[in-house]
Amino acid sequence: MRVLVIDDERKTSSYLKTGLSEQGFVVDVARNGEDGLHLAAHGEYDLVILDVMLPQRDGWSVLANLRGEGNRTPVLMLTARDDVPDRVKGFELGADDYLIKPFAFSELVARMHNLLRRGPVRPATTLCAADLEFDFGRQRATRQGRKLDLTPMEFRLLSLLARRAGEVLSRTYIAEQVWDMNFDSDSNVVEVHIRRLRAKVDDPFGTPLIHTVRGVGYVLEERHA
Amino acid sequence: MPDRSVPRSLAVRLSWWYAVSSCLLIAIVTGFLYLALLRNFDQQNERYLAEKVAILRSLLEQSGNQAATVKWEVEEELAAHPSIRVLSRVLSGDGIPLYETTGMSADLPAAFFRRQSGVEVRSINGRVYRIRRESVPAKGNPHAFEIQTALDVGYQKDLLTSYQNQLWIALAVGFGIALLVGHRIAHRGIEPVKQMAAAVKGIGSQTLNERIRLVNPPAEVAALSETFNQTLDRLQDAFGRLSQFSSDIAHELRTPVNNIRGELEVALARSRTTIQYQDVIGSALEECQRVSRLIESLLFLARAEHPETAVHREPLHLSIELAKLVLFYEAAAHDRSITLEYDVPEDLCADLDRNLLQRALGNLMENAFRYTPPGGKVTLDAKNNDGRLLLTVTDTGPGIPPAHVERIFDRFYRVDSARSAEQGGTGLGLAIVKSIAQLHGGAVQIDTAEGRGTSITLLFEITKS
Repeated sequence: MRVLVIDDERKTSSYLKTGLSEQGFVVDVARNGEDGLHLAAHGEYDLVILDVMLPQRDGWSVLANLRGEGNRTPVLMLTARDDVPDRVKGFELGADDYLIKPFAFSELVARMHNLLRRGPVRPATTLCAADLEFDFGRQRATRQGRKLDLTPMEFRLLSLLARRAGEVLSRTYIAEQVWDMNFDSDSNVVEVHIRRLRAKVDDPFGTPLIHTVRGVGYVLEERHA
Repeated sequence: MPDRSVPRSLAVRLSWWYAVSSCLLIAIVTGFLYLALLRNFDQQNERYLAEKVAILRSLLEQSGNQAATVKWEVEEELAAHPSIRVLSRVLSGDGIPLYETTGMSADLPAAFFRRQSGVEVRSINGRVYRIRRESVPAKGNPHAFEIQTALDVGYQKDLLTSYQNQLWIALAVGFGIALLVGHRIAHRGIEPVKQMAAAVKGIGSQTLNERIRLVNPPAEVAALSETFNQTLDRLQDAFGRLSQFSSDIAHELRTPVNNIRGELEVALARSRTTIQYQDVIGSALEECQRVSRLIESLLFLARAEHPETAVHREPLHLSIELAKLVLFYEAAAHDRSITLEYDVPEDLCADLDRNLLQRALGNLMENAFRYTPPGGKVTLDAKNNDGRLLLTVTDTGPGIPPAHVERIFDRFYRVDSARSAEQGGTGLGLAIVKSIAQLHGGAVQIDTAEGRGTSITLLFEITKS
C-alpha cells in the first residue's frame, strides 16, 4: 500500500513515516502544497494524508485541484482546527475522512484501514485469528476448539479485536465500535471490559492473546516469548 | 445626518432651548402689549375726531348766527390747543371751503378726504394724520355741509417706534440673560453626570473593585449610577471567574506537562532496559492523552457558548439509548461493587443530539461512580413530566456540602481538589453537562444532602419533529 503524507511539520511527517512504514505501508512525504499536489496527481497512491495548513498551497487547494482533475484517491485530512464549517468544507471538497490534532496514531491507522477497505466489502460469516474461531451467524467463538462463554457485548469486543488482529485499537475507538459510545470518556470503563474478557479468553488457556499497549490501547496477537 | 464623531454638549443644548423658550415668552407678552397700545391709540383718536365732528355738526345745525363760533372752532382751535394738532375744514354743499384751519390746504388739501375716511394718511409735508369726513344736512339747502377733520398722530407714531426699539433691545438683552442663566442651570443639572463620567473613566480591568459614589445625586442620576454599579458587580464577578479560569487552565496543563518532561529527562539521564523505556514512553502517552482530553473539553465548552453551535437533533428512543449506556457502564459498576439500576418507560422518545446526550449522561454516571462507595447504588431514570423530559442520575455517595452546590457546575470547580485530582477527571465534566443541557434549550438541577447522596437531573423539552 502506497501512502503519501503531505505535511510541513517535520516532526509530524517524520513520525508518520516511521509509524506507517512499520505498519507495512510504503510512505512518501511532501513538505509543501505544490510538491504534494504534483506527487498526488502523478504518483500512484492508495491513500493521501493531507494537512490543512501548508506553505505555498494550502490543503483545501490541494484537495480541490486533485478532485478537479478527476483523481479519486482517498484523502484523509489532518487539522488542528475542528470548527464545524471547516469540517463541512473538507467533506464538500471531497475529503474522505477528517482527523483533528492531537490524534492517537492508532486512531489514524484504524481510519486508514477503514478507507482502504471501502469498496468491495465481503460480509464475513466466519473468522480465524490465532487460535480463535468465530461463527457470526450463531454468535459463537471458540479457542483451541473450546467454546467461549461470552455475552453479546463480549463477543462484539473480541471479534473487533480479532478482525483487527495485530492492530492497536484505542479505548475511544473500541467504545465507539462496540457500544456506540461517541465521546471520549476519561474513565477506565473499557479497561474493565477488557479485564473481564481476558478472564474468559486468556486466563483458562495460559497463553494470552489480548495485550495492553500502555497509553495507546489494546491489541490481539500471538506473542511468542 | 447627525455628526456622530463630535457629540454636542447637553449643557449647550439645554441652555439654547432655555433661552429660545424664554425669548419666545417675552416676545409674545411684549407683542401683545404693543398691539394693545396700538389699539388703544386708535380708539382714542377715533373718539377725539368723532367729538370734534359732533361739535362742528351741532354748531352748523344751529347755523347763521353761529357762524363766528364755527369759524373760531375751525380756525382758532389749533392756536388754542397747540399740543393736540387737530385740523378742520367745513365745505359748503357744492364743495366750496367755508372755514378751514390756517394752513390746512397746503398740507392736507380737500382732495385727500375724497377717497377715504377713518384712516391714516401721510400729508404733503410728511406728517401723519388720522382723517375723518362727514356730511351734515344744511337747513334750506339741498346740499349738505361736509366736515373734514384730521388729527396729527405723528407723536404717537414716534412713541410706538421708540417703544418698538426698546422692545427689541429688551428682547436681545433677555435672550442673553436667559442664555447665561440657562447655561448655569444646565451645568449645575448635569454636574452629577460629569462626576459619574469622571468616576467611570478611572475604572479599568485593574480597578474593577471601584464603584461610583456621588454626593447628593438627583434621583435620576442615582438610579443610573446604581445600575452602573450593578453592571460593575457582574463584570467584576465575570472577570474574576475568567482570570480564575485562566489560572486553572494553566495549572491543569502544568501538571501533565511537568510529568512528561520530568519522566523523559530522568529516562534519558542514563541508559535503561527496553522495558523501562517502554514504561516511560507509555506514561508520557497517558499524560498526552490527559492534555488532549483537557484541550478537547475546553474547546467544547468554548464552542458551546456560541449561539450558532449546531445541535444535531434526531428522534431518540430513550429506552434504547439508556440501555446502551448501562451496557457500557455495568462492568465498571460491578467492578466497584456498585449496583447500577435504570428505569425508563418503553415508549419515551425525544429529539436530542445522540452524542451530546451520551456525553452528558456518561459524565454524570462517571461522576456518580467516582463518589459512590462500594456497596452503594447508582440509578439512571428517565420520565416524561408534562412534556418535559427528566433524566436523573442518582448516587448514594457522600453528597455535596451546601456551600459548594452553587458553584458545582463551574469549570474546574471541585469540592475537594486534592481528592478529585487523585480520582481522575478534568474538573470540566459537570460544566460540560450544563452546557449540553443549555445547547438543547434545557437545564440542569441538582438535589443533594450531605450523607444522603446526590441526584442530578437534566431537563429537556420534548420536541416533536
